[in-house]
Amino acid sequence: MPGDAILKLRDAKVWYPVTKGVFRRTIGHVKAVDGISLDIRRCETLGVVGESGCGKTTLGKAIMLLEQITGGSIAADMDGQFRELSSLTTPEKLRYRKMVQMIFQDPYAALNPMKKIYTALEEPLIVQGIRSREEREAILASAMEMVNIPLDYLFKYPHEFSGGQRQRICIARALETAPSVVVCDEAVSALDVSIQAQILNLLRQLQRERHLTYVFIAHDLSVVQYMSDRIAVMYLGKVVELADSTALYENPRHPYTQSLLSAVPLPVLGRRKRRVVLQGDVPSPIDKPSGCPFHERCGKCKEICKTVEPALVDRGGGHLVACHLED
Amino acid sequence: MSDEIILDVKNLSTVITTDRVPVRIVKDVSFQLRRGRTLAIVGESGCGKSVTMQSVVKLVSRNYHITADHVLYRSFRSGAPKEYRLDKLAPYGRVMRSLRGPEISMVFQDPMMSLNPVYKIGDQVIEGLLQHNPGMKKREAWARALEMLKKLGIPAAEQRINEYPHQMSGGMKQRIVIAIAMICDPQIIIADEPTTALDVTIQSQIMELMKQLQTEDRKSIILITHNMGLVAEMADDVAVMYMGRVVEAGPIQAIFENPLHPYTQGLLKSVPVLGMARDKPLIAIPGSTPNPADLTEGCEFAGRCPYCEAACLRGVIPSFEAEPGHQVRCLRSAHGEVN
Amino acid sequence: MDKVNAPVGGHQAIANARRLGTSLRKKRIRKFVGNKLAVFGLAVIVVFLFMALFAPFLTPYDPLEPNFGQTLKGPSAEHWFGTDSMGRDLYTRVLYGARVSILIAVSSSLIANAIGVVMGAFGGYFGGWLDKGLVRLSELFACFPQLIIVLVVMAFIGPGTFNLILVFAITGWTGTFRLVRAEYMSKKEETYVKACEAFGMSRLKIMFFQILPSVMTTVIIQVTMNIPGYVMSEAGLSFLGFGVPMSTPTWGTMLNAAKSMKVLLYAPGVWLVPGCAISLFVLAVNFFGDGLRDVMDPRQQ
Repeated sequence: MPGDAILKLRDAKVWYPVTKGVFRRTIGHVKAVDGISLDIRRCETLGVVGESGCGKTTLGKAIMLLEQITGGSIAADMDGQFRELSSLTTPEKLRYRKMVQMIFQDPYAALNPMKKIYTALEEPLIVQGIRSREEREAILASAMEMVNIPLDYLFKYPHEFSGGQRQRICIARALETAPSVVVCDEAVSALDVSIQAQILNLLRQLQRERHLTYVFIAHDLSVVQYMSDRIAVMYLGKVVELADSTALYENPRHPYTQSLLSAVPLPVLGRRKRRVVLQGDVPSPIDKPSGCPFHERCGKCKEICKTVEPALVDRGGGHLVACHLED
Repeated sequence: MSDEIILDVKNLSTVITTDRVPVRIVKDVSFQLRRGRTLAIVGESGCGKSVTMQSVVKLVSRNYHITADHVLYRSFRSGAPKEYRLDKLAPYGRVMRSLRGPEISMVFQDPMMSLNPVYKIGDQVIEGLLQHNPGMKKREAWARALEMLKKLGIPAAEQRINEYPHQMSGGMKQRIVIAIAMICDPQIIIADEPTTALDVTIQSQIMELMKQLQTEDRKSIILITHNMGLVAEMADDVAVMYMGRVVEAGPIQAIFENPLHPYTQGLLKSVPVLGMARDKPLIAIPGSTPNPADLTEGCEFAGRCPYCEAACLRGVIPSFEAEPGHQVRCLRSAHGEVN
Repeated sequence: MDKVNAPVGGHQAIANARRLGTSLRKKRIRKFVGNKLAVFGLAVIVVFLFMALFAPFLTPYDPLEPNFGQTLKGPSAEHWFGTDSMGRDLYTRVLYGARVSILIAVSSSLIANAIGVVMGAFGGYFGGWLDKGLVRLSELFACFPQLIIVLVVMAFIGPGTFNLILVFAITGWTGTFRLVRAEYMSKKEETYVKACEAFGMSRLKIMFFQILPSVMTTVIIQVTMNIPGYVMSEAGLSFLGFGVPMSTPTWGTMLNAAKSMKVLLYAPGVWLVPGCAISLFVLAVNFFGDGLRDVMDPRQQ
């Protein structure tokens, strides 16, 4: 059913220990993802934005089982019942991986330079247990047609393709196992501007045709806002605002979202807005500030912000904000 | 006074030879930079925008062959303007070296790679000063560097100046790179994708900083970028490059309000703009950028252009003046059938 | 762009497309043939192997039979390269010597590198305690003088061709291990490896089918660079009496026979002939290895 949750994250955490000395004493944690709770709904595009180091890529990897969560849970709707990812058996994991696929940032690095495109596309099908070569090649042919790349290109090597073509091949590889969720991690940021639009249009068309759910991770707010139904804004491993895409753009409520929006340069003359220029840099995720993670850079910081961490609360109409100013 | 031309490049071409195959990377590029203004050079990777600027300041390797009608730099520093023909100077000769730094300096894309990890920030900033001011005391240079860091809004400058690059964040490093470029008080700053490696909030900090330097000290800036948003915010004049050629050039209003070249139009329409309706499809430029070695005759953009005709595939497409100061290298502008 | 249409039978369409494309194997062969030095290397290796295999048919003499009437003779019609201090034909001894020398050098290098690759792959890819253990083990082998190990092993199992290969293999893997381990540690972070993990490929398959091909270029260099070392080591150990028995003709034992001042000065053929054979073979292997490495990488086609 469209609109139902397909993935549920509850207080999901990915912490890496920081060790010191000969005895590897743990002196702290890099809190890359620090307690994220949200639902990813069937057939929606959930945008995830934030600056480098905010944990958005780690979040994507945790969903992909490429990163172990160290706390909380991620549960997936597998044939009608929610199963926690950490409790899956090996064959079930394989089934989950068929259901959730990923498109990576750098199409130059995402394909093995030593392997033909044919091999790169065939491998996931072999792993998924499709024994007959005829069956595999039928799937291959339709996948290549889907991303509009001629079949004779299957027998070439990745370096013979342009960035846009490589990203199309990566999309074909991700979609050939017919997943329902696709995590797009900065899927267009490594591409030239004239190619970005082709890939974005292709992703949208495929979503319509195949009823895909996207988790669209990017740092470019314009792209995320254009692609997403809902957007989660991340800062230092936390979601600080989660809202409908239009609502977030028209009525950003968290001070961080406001400054992020105002910082995006618009390719339109005469729309130079009043900037909220942020002071300083993102603090290190090892020793995060107490209270609200944003308080050191926030222009509207109050006394309570320095001590009490605000919770992500629905402020009406599904607009979730984690800020004391909203109380 | 603002129309004084400080850098005038006429028909600059660069041929790069790799494996004995010469490829024309920059083709008959002409542009003018006015004093106290910002010229944006826009284009995608491989369009030759960086090579163009490297050819102007002659920071090139042996396999580059540069020709030009003229590359004229006018120094307004003391009284009567002094002119230099950059195209006639030896790349690593005394005059050229004395210009790089005190007159024209560069800011590169990746601040992590532009700084030497084994020297203190302060030592890297004063290096240019000591180089170009023989006899200057190190203490004096150090004081000037500190002043510059403070001017660029670096917090706790006294402490930062003694730190090493790895102790700083990306945005802070880019400020240091700008400090290095600014320390000799140059007239022209060439910024090659200065914020591509940085986050948007840091990008806006750096851009505000460059604007402030420009209005306070009347610096001329050449901004090389692929981000049309940055162009709209920063530039006074724009030159759009595609496959080594300037396909459209003019004042910013002309380029944004009346783009005439199909490539410029495509660039403007293919990027999502914040607040754009979600159901509106993006108008993509079809195909991909060709390999510069494969190009033969005619318009470089012909293979991807929706308006391509037979005439577009022959010879070199000349540049037309669509309106005063607005140059377009497209036959449609010659026909007069614009839009 | 000549687009191949994908009709009902995708399998058939792909078969057609496969026929249309030029095979990479042809391109690789063409590239290898274009590399003069590599072809020269291959030719020399083939000639050496041929001569070693068919030695009895290429010479009328016995490599072991002394002929005291003909000692230390210069090149002549009967003895092309002359004779040694026991009157044995040098040409014959180089032919027979090639058998043992090439066998020892090539197989030691291959086995040692194979051990190094497997250990390096497991250590670098899995990391953790396994990696730590392997690194300690390799350090143990690397800092312990090879000669001592050889002496100990030889004392227990006695000298001989296969024992020598065994010793070379167990002491020679550490260099390759370190290189391969480092390559795996960096390659396992590559996005394409993550992509394979994301669609559920098993770790062994990723190790040996995804990462290994790109590590092979390094390994090939190692194999070819090790071969000359083993030819020399064999010579050295045989000289000390720990290698193959002195009576067995190898290029190393032949060199040893030239250790007296008289021979060095007045019969240069005795050391020059095996010396040249070693140099030529080593050079050929290096050229061939370089050519092979260039051909392996599809990016360089």
